[in-house]
Amino acid sequence: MNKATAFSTLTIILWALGVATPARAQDAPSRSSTRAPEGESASSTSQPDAMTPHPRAAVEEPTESPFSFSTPMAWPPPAARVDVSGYVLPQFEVVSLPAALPRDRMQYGVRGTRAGFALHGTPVDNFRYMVHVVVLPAGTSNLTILSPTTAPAMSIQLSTATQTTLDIEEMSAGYRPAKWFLAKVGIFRMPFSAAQTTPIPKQMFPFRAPQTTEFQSGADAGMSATLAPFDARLQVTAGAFLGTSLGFVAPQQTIRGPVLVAQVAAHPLGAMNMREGDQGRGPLRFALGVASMLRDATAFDATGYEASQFNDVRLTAWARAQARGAYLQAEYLRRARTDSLSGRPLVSEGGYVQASYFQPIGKIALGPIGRFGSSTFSQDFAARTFTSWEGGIVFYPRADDKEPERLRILVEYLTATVRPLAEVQREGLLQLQMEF
Amino acid sequence: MAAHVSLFPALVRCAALVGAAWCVAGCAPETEPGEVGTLRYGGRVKGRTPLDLLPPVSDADGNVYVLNGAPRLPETHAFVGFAGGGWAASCHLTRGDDFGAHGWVGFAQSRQWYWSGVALVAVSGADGRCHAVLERDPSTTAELQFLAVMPGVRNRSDRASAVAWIKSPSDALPYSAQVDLDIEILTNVVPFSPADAENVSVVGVGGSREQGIGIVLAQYQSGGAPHLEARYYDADGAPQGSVAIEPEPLAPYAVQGYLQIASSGLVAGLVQPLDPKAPPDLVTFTRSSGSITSVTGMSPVGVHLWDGALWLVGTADSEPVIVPIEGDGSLGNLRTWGASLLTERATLGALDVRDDRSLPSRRTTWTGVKTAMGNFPFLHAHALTTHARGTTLWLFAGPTTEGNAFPFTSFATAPVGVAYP
Repeated sequence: MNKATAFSTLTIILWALGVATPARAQDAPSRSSTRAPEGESASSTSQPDAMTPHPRAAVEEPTESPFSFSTPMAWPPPAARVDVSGYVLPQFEVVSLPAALPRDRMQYGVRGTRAGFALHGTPVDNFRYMVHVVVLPAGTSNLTILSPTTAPAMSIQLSTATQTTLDIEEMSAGYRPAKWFLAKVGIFRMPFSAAQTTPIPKQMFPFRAPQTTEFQSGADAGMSATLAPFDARLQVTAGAFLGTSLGFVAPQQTIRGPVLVAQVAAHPLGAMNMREGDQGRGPLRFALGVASMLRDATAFDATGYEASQFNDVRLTAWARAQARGAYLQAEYLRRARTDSLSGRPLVSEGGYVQASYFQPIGKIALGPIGRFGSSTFSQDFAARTFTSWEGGIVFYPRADDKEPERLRILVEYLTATVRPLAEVQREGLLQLQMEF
Repeated sequence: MAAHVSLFPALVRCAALVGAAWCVAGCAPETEPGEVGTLRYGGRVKGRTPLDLLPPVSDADGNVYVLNGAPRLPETHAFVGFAGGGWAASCHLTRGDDFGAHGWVGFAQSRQWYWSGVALVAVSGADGRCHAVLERDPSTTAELQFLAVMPGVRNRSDRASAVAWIKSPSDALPYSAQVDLDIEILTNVVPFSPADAENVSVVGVGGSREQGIGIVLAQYQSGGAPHLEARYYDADGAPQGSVAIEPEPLAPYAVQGYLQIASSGLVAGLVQPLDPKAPPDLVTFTRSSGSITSVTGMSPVGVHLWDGALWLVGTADSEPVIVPIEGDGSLGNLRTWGASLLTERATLGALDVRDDRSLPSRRTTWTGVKTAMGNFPFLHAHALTTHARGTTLWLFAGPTTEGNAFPFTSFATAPVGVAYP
């Protein structure tokens, strides 16, 4: 038994012990809750927090929270049985690839233009649902661009006769009987990468950090359970998924083996919401998280017999912080895949750091944004390093709205390189975001 | 509070899981020198060991490719071992009666290309099928002959391309060109110069995907004088200068395997003199100068490139030996190649072999396994391919059966740990 197999076995044993241990629910905390600032989870203390500059008055616990993509599973839950939210994201791009074919040296397109519709509600006490579909019109992805990975991005999609794509971002049912526990089942993004789990209209940039697509992309089918004690200052999630979003399936192969996911996140000064930005200009908050994905699976060939066994482990560690309009997020990811046939491990690693600032100016606001990232795909064979720099400015026409990012205009410049072939891409992008 | 305390053990275990997973992901297993991975039975080829096979190569998807042939053997057979199991053996393309398989020239995500005779052949790792690239000039429909294909296919986001010398039967001189391997067209076509050159022949080729360089070692006559030159090209096929080497008459494709380019820029290769019984000489050159020298103290087999450094491999005193080629082209100290001996010892006794020539795969056992090529593992004119860090692919020979006219020998491929001292 080699080292990788030994560690895998140890990991699975630990996993089994952890899941099997009953987390017996005791009486819920009796302290009353206070009304939290918009978009943040409620604090359980009735006294002002010494680390919070704006004292909060003790009020009766609200009976419902309005829906927001920043806190899709806010507590208490929205009362509506059926509700619709969504967004429209028209985007325009100019891409330059100086060394490409003459046809591709200067390209214009609307890559990333999409609309999202989320049907959600609480039909029965403690039970919620979310159906989030993203509509990608035909022809919006016809640009030649550099990619951080040669592995295809996987997602659950339905294509129509007109080539319009319906991307299933989420289709889930949730059970939340108490503030500190949530169970979810269906199709949704695995609780892994911070960049990959941010809801689309709450992303800082029009696209997720490209360095993370090698490690996670799209929604997957499965279930998860989250424990969030201490007013969600500690959040622990465990889940099991089918793994269809993880890609790399040889033609005519069938993979059998679930993906086990575990995430631990600490929010010492109070739970942060899922928005990449501090449009609320709130007090200092920060969060640290680590997550792992483990898949020990068997690949079956076209005849239905075993072709190989493989082990795929992915890890991420991230940090987020916000204070007075400034926001910072950084993440490091690593992946190692080994199998019983090829003799070639697939090892990739990458990371990014992104920052923004929100500055109100009367009824409007401006906000610079910036991101740097680098990733190396397939370190053992034909290694490919993708590096990108992005910078832009965001205009918020309605800074007085409770979520100013619901209407924003973003202008961005991006430069990316792929080595060792030294390909360069330069890009200008304009995005209008309207959330409803 | 009591509820939170009762959760503590589960939280600790969850954190332990995450920590254990960190260890696994940070420790991708490395293959030890001489460690042989899963043997995959690929097929049977004509003859007995040492077989006319080239060191296997692989693509980014993990498909394995085996080429049965040799420069002096105008028969070529390509095998594809799929990453998900199974083999295809339906590719026999070559062109011309004088020469056979020169070697593999590069890979893409799930494709490989080889050069055999005057044909450039694309092999698909998805289904094992192959086809000849640009058999004819699209403009004139004249037959196109690939006289030289510089190894090191470049995979850009928008296309895969290679650089080659091409010629039609009616052309007096060849042309250099960039070959777009996706849409199969020629661009950047540059005629050979000087225009009064005669008897142009290719002695050998070399290339580096990482450095974006291709080299053709060619001889010709111009102004009544013989010339031996190494001509450089960039990845777009644009000429980048040449270096003259003291000419001596050499046969076409006299370079054994390919010229290898060190990260320092030094280029080296073994070249067979006109006398076929004479041992090969070592040709080395840089952008400024070059020479051909004889090799003593060993029977050289090939020049290898590993981790950016050049090595001369061969045999001496019935053992595999290896010699570093220094930056100035001189040879370092000769030493026994331990990784080769370790690999030979690893194949002693009965070995489990996975037979997935057709699915579902089966297990079989071979005894008397030995290296399919050369006298010792890793000794070949062609350099070893980097399959993974510290790992190459090699071929092992199994049972030989007597056919009606020829014997046939089974071969298997396996990832093998390798180290250059």
